Amino acid sequence: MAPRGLAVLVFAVLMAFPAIGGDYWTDQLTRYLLFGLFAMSLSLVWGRGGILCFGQAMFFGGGGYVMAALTMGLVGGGLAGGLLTSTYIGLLAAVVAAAVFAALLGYFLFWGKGLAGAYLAIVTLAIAFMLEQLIKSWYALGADNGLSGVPPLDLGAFGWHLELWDPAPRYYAVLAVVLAVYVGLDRLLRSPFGIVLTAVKTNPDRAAFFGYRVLWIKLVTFVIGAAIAALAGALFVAVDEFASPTLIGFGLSTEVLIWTALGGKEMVLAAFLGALAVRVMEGYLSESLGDYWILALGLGFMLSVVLLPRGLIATPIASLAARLRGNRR
Amino acid sequence: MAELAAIALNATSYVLILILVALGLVVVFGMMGVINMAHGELFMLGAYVVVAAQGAGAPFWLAVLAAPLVVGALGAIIEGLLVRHVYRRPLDTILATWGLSIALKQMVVLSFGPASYSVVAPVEATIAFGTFAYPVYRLILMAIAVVVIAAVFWVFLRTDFGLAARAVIARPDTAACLGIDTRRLYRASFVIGTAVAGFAGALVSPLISVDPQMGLGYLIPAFLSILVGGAGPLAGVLAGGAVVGGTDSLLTVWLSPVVAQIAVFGLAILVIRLRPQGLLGARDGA
Amino acid sequence: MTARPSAMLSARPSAMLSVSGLESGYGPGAVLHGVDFELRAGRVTALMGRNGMGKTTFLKTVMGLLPARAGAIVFDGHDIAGLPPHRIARAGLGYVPQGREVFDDFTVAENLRLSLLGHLGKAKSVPERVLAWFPILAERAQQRAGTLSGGQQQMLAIGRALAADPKMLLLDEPTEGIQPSIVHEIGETLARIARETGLTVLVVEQNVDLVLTVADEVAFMDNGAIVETTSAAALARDDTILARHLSL
Repeated sequence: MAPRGLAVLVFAVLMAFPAIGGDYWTDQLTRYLLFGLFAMSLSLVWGRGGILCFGQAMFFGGGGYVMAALTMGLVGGGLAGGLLTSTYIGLLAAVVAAAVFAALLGYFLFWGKGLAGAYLAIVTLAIAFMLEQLIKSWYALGADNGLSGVPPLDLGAFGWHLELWDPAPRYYAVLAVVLAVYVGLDRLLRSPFGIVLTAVKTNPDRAAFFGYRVLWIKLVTFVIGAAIAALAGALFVAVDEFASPTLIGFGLSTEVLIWTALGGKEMVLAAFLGALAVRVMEGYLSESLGDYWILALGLGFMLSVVLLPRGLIATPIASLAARLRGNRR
Repeated sequence: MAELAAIALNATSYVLILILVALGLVVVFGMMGVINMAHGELFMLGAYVVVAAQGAGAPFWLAVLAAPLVVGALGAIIEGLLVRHVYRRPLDTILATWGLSIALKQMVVLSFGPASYSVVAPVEATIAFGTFAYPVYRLILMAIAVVVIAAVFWVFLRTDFGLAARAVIARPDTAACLGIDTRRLYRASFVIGTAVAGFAGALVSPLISVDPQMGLGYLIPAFLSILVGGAGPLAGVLAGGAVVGGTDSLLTVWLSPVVAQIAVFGLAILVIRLRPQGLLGARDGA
Repeated sequence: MTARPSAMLSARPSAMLSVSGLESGYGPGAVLHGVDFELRAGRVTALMGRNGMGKTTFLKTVMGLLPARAGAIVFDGHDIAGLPPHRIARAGLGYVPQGREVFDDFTVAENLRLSLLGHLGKAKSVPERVLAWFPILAERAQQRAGTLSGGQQQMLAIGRALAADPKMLLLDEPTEGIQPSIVHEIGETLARIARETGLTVLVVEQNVDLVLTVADEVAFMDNGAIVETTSAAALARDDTILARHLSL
């Protein structure tokens, strides 16, 4: 776990950002924050839960599409005077849909002698592949072109509207959500659940012998991860005003894996920062490097897995934290 | 009737290619417990060797012979520089080879562009089977594939090298204490596996559209075949490949290729979950 | 038959294996805390001690299966610490692991052949004398090793190690899980092999009968270090030595 002081510092900097960053970068950072939130979900599921899921974007994109479908009135638009098009309902639906789907999928993957390790990776890869193909051919959801014109975040309810069009208010709304989720995850992982989760990840058989219900713990973790990813995706389509098949696809599943691994999968804050760092770098470098950016990312990822498997950001944080703890004694 | 024969022949050629790809995967997986996520890209590179050769005016069969050499050499480099450092950490190997697959794909995009290529078949003729005509090249491909598969089996089941390789898969420490250089065997097996994949890619290149993304479409069914087949290092691949490849070919007749692939993957995953030991495995997981 | 005239005629037998200050273990803990041990050529030595004292760890470290964290291992004049197991095996160290570890799916002949494959330049067929010591290996050559009885598997494991004509043999609890009559037979055969060829042997054993049948010398390991060495003859005479080291 990242030291609390560092988390405070990070969020303080993020809160101050719009004042110094300007509109364009605030806008970009809003999106990066949501990718960071997405990476947090994978850090929970993979880094802490030991579930290597190659298809995490299915929840991110899935949440996005649910949000888009509802807020655009594609589903139940006529009901209750447009009640279902409310932002809150959209977010709720996205999260619940993802949670239900994750519960079913998770049960299928983990019951009995559940899938783990390499087998789980390949199966989730296959599922991600399947879903991408499916969405691309689903005409009602815009197929290859996706859904454009997704309404922005609307903080109002019951006929009263407060739409967030400007970069700064939108940024702060998103940041508030990200912060809330981070605090929630931090508390969860420091709680007894977090300790049991580590036990299950390290040695599931032994944890089972101790009486822990491994399937239940894995399911809860998987579902919470899916819910967070869906929340991030739902907010993302509202910010971007566009739901694209790339959000559910294989490419994004790969990218979030890279961000999380590069940052440090076992440390939620590091995974978050990893996503931010890679996206920021991409923002700067993809202009100059063009197609070489992806190559550089792939090579960099390879190197980091071999040399710093705990993450480029997490490793220095962890050793710094250890040194500080040592000095305090 | 003629339709049925054509479908059966097409299914067979797909199954054989799938088995070739899976054989390369399974040896590495069985021996080192690692999945080479870049295996599909090595298959793809075999096809691009043919693309490059045809661009340079070289004959097709020369390219097909060169492909395993080129890809095998690349496999040796990959093993020495990358896999060697991570094979004790199987999950990190998945990630590292995943990064490699991204890098390899992008290198191909940078060299050849993202669009797909067509490879000209060496033999355009068709042979008449009663009422329908079937491409001769497909028949040649099947014959060659059978020979190569048989050769791989022969190497692993009948030679001293194969005996040592199977010993290392079964009990690596004991094999080492008998004087067997496990590192050299890992490398040799990895190179053989990648060379076979490259060969398969070159062989199948005239029949499909060659593009940088084609690797994944073979990696996943190949691996699913291994899991579906289960059991011993090699026999399971035959069974799994036949089932996965055969089902895909059959379903493509009635459904669109996309839906067929989804259905096949879904079915394979179901089989894997409901019968974890695979079709050939014994119930107690032996 | 290969006699070892130097071992039998020299007045001062040289050290075949010399270990000093050896430390090793699994993970963060240490199991061997500075082992000092010397094995003279041509002798059969038994290593005894309670469970968990480090006997198997010691053999594994000598064979290179576990890295030595400190100390030196000199075998037949060569420094072998840090070498990979296959190089140590090729230097002439044979290993019969605990639990035998025969390749169940291979035939007896294939198991033996693997040993020959590992040693380049050696004879391409199993030495006659190995089959003479363990006739069953010739009789059951085509049988799958997994279908042999425990005692037969043990003979295969020993024969496999001997097929490479090693200078020294390490055995880890060869009698574990084998019926007493076969234990005795194996013990007699080992003693015979050692006598005929002057092979240096180190056998980790809990079974006192086997030790007394086979060993010239006995060493005791406690808490990852050698604490006492004595001759087998002395052990046979004095009950208290065993009680000291093996009782709880």
